[in-house]
Amino acid sequence: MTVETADEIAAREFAHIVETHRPKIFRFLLASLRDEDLAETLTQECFLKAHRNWKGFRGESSAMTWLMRIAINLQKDHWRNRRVQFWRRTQVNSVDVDEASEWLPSGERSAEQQLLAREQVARVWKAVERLSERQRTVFLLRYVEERELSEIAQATALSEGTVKAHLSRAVARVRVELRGGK
Amino acid sequence: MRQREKWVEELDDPALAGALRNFKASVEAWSDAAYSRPRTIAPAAAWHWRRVAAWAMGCVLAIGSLSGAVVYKIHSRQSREAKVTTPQPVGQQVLSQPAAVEQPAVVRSGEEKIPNATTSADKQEQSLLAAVNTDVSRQVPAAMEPLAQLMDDGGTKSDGSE
Repeated sequence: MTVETADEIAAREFAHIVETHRPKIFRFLLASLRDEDLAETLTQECFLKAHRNWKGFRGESSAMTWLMRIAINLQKDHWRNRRVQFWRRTQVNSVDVDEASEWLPSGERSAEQQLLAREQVARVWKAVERLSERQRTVFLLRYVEERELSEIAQATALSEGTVKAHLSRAVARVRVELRGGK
Repeated sequence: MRQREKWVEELDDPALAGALRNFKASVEAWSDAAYSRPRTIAPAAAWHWRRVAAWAMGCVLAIGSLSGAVVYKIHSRQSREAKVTTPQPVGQQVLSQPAAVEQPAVVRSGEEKIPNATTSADKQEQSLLAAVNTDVSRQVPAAMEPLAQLMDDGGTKSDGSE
């Protein structure tokens, strides 16, 4: 009978965390950046950082909130670098809003329903594109990742009140866009 | 599922809730497709070659600038050495000649003030002056030799020594 060491247990736990949360972190970054390669790169960086600091994780928040916080910071760093290095030739693979709205689950819908859904999705994407970085993060965490307000507050290092304010502004913008952008 | 119902109730707007549900489903579909898509390593290879090319270009520039600096140093040293070994131009020799003559003149004026000057000193001075004159006249470059000979000839004729 072999006895597992503390490192082995930690490695096993971390492997489980990666398996469970990696698709969600990737999805959040993909929705934020609309760039598959960049989302993949930042997801890898996120888990690399998490692995380095795994021993320091005290479990004060859920692992998902902790990982989301790392992902948000990586995303912020990315935008900051892009702004600073505007002179550098950066390869941009961002998908167009119309292209992003082409994705719909293959459900039992009529052609008309699918067309309507596609149009709605395109309008929401347009509204999301115009949101500020913080509003977009809060909006995606709430309506795509379905996180609780307290979790969003922890992940973004904002108070719950501020999260609510950002969320209500983002929703108002989406509502306006859905009514035809008036 | 319960969570979704909660935020739908919060919105209190069926049209908006439906649109957000479609948006979420769209993002999930895209994410699932992108997540399961096999990744190619072509961009990484291209990046690698770009980096190698940048390094090579950097090395070439560094070697070029270093060798340029070395060649410039050697060239400037050679030109400095050439300047040192080249004899003075004729014009400068002519200009330096009166200075050489004037210097003993000062001494001579000093001698005039001293009444006890010896005749041997005069002789030494004259011989020194003569030596200087001959040295200066001999230091004419080869290209100017015919002119120097003419000057010599003229001098002797006017003196009437020959």
